[in-house]
Amino acid sequence: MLRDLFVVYRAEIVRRIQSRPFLIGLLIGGLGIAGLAKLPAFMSSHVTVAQARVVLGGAPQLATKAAALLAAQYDIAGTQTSLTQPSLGDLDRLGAGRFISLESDGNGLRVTVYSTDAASVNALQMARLLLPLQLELGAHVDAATAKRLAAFKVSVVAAAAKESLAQVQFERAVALTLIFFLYLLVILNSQLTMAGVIEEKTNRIAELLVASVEPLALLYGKILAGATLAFMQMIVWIMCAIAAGASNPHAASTGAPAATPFNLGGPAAAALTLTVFGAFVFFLIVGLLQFSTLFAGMGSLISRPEDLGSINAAMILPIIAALVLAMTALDAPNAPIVVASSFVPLFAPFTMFARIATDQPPIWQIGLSAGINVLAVIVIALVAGRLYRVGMLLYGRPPSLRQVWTTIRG
Amino acid sequence: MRGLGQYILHRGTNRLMLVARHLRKEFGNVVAVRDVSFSIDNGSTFGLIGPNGAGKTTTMRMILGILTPDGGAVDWNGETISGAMRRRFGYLPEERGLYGRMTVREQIRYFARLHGLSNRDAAERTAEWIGRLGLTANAERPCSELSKGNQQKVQMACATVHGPELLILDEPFSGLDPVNAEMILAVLAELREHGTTLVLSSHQMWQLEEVCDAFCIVSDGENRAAGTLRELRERWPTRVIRVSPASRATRRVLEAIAGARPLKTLIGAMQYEVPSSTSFPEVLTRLVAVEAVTHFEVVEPSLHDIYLHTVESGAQVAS
Repeated sequence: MLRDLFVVYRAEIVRRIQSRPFLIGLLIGGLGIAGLAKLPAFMSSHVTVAQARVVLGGAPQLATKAAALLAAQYDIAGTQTSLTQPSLGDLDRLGAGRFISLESDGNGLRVTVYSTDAASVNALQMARLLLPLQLELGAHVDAATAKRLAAFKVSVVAAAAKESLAQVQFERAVALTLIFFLYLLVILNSQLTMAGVIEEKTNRIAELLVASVEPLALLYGKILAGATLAFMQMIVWIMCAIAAGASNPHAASTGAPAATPFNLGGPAAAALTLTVFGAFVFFLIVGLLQFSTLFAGMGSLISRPEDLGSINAAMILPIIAALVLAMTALDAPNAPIVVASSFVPLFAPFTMFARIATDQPPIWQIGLSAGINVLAVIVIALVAGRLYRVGMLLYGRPPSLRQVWTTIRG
Repeated sequence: MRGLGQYILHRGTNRLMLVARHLRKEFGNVVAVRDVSFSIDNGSTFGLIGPNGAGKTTTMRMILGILTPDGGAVDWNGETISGAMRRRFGYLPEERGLYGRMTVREQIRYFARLHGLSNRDAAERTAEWIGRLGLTANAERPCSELSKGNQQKVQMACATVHGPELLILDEPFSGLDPVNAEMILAVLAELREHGTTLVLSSHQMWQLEEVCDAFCIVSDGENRAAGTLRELRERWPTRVIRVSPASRATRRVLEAIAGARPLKTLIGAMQYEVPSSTSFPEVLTRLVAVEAVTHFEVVEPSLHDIYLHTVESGAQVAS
């Protein structure tokens, strides 16, 4: 069995390396990741500044004071005391993306922002900048006192790890990047494995194969070959992300966010610790084995390529659900649903990894999750093996759920 | 249940190699194989024949271990067939394909490796078969670019590259042009010379009659008849007598035979179906006494006749 498995494994590696989807996944994927790593810096240096230009409206004295406060973050184009409710045409004419209307009464300041891109207005930031003016008008204090009162500082410290905010941001960005890699590697390779199984069935070579070698050697040879190549893809992608991040000339000078997804170079590399990388590799292997085996088993039940779509959609759903849970885990690694899903096979490779990358889950939880999921790999392999053994010789109408269940029960 | 001995050929010899005993296979409510038994001698060529859906392919798959029988067993040299034994078998299924992107050489070599040959042996045997089947010019081309005939040659090479002890061919001639059918026959003859035991299924009776030593007729998942062509003919209850000229005198002699039944006249010759127990020398003597007989022939039933009669009547021809 082991010898056969190795023969299949080798042949499968050669076949896949020669196949177009793999090459596209490897090269275009690598280039795409490098591009994504550079995107935030590129965007911040090339995006038009018209949106950020601001015209202030209202009483001249009020507008002058507000302009002085807002100048730190906004490009103030001027004031228009006669304008109250500008149209898009008015903004175009003024060459501005925003018009800030300022009014005051006994309670203080009232601010209305007219913007060509309302979604991008950071109202909280604006309120913070205008706080001294609000204190001056509402609390009736002098300008110097208002400025002093408004200049309070908020410090954010990650309580558990005693890390700086920058470290936390880098960790989060690295975790997000690796979760996307996990998702892409699992989905691409599981689908390639399923496509290989369907190809063997539809071109009618399956019967010749199962007469020559144990079906299980055939199945596991394919899956291990897929996992090996996914590993290769992973290394190429991570190297692309590191190289692109390290050579990013804009990150510091343009004010782009320091920690951005798909950027594993420069200061982000420090967040890619051995623990995080080890957890990533372990859960990548577990995820690949679970999903590839399941995809291969289900693929063996298909005898017409046109049936692939329906089964594919059903198979992708758990991966997408796992991705959504992992994204939730980035913000709330200890939310009950996240903790629970980090033990459930098919979900755990994503959610437990997200928890490890952003937090420090208890060791027993990591151990239990690893144990359950390794066991799940074995159970899925047995179930898929049964489906595969029968499915490879099954042609015609796809089997009913009852037939599938009977097959699984053996 | 019938005894196995009914279908064992060449009883009493120690040359038995493949023995199938009361095989049964069900798929849900469908019984694909009800009760099939036969044995095959070392180095012989065996024809497994029957109508579509008779259970031939399922039987072949059980021999190869691709399917596990629900009842009965298959032995190879007295041992139950195992995974390791299967490596020494070859199989050419009815529905067969190739990896389109693999080259001819890679494909044949891959199957050689799957059948347990070392890298070196696989490469050598692959080169031999490429030469043997006239595929040298196409050896490095992807299989998807080959003509159908050349693809069939590659499939044959994949099934035989490892020099199987037992080669099972399910409808090997279906879809083949005469040139490729001849090529397959030549390869089979060569394998047979080297001692390979062959099991064939085909609907082309004349080809089977030419190459097979023994047959098993299967219908509705059960044995209907088994034996060498000679044995099957011996069990056949009637013969056809063909006589020329078709005169009144000769007709009187033939009609006097107990159980005789006239058939259509064939190119001036009278044909009568008579019991196989008829004494043909005696009939000839009587005919010669009444007429100047120019043609006298006792026609043996062909495999085609036996097959049609066996399947259509649903009768079992006892050994």
